[in-house]
Amino acid sequence: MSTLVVFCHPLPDSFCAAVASQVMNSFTKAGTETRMLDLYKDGFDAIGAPPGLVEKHRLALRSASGLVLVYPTWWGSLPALLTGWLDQLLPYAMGVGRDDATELLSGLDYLIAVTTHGSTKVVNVIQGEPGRHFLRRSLHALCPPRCGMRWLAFYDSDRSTEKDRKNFLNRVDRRITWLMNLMFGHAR
Amino acid sequence: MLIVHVLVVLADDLKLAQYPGGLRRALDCGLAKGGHDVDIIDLHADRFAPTMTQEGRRSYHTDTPLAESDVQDYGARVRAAEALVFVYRVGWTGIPTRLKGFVDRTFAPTVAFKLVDGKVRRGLTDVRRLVLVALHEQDRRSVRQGKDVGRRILSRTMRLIVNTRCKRRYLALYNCESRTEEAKSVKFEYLRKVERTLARL
Repeated sequence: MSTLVVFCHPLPDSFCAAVASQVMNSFTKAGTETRMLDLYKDGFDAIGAPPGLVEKHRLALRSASGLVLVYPTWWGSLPALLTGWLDQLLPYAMGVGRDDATELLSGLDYLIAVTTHGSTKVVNVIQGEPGRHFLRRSLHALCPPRCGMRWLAFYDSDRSTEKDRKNFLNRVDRRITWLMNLMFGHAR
Repeated sequence: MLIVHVLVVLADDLKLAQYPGGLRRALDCGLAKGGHDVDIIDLHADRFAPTMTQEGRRSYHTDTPLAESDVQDYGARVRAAEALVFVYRVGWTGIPTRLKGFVDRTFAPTVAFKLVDGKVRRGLTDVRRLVLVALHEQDRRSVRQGKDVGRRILSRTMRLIVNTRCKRRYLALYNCESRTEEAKSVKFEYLRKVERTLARL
């Protein structure tokens, strides 16, 4: 079992980056092989990335048994770069290429979204939670039936205190450890 | 007739010009009929880079959030608008990458909205009309199942920062790739509707 962590935030000193490194630590602690794709560091182009890089990322996705997306929620949804990444890795239109997309995701046992919101949960519900719906309804729908999805969100980061952020990092750690124990505990 | 300053954001590749049988013509005709003052941003022709850059993010919460020259220009044009028209074509992701990037990078605090104690306050109070012209590659049922993310971002979220009396219209064409006879008549009807709506903004 191996986990692919996809991180998408421009600043390496942001809270989102701290969350990503916490995610990496927790998975490593749980004894899974973990790999991170930093879309900004890799210089992934949101519109037309070089085919070699796309193929590399596709290979990483194919061999993963878990996909973790760590991103900031901007305008209620995924950043443009992450949308572009998904669009280029899983390009399908109605009836064309859908099998290819499901085949690429066929190894997944779990999909976890870890995201930070600037605004509160209430504001996000008023917006209609587009990011969450997209992941649940569109991306998760392509994953095999056994694949579960978890949503770990930090709200109201614009007004958060040091304590809130620390609590969230702890929550991420607890949730991942619990989930890995639940899913793979018997194998150890 | 009331003259409205319209900002049209085209977020599509070159196909839009020919497809579906002259959407661009319908847009132009409608806007000309209404006698509006029109400003067009063509994200594809401008080769707009949708990725939020490091500098862009660092300056996002400062007093001058638009650090780069391309979005500075867009920011001024967005502020001048009295009507916003988004024209886009989507597959399964719900919103085109370029359009999401445009919203991420240009609609920043102090430009499109104000942040008061971490809460969003309306910034584009001049905008009284919002029209989405959405061409979906999927059929109506799939779009419904996917919760139509683009509409939620551009209409439901945009509602929070434009004028309280803003009229919102959503013009959607489903199955836009379809070439059957029935689809053709649906498309024809759709283009007429786009033209009518833009003429009577």
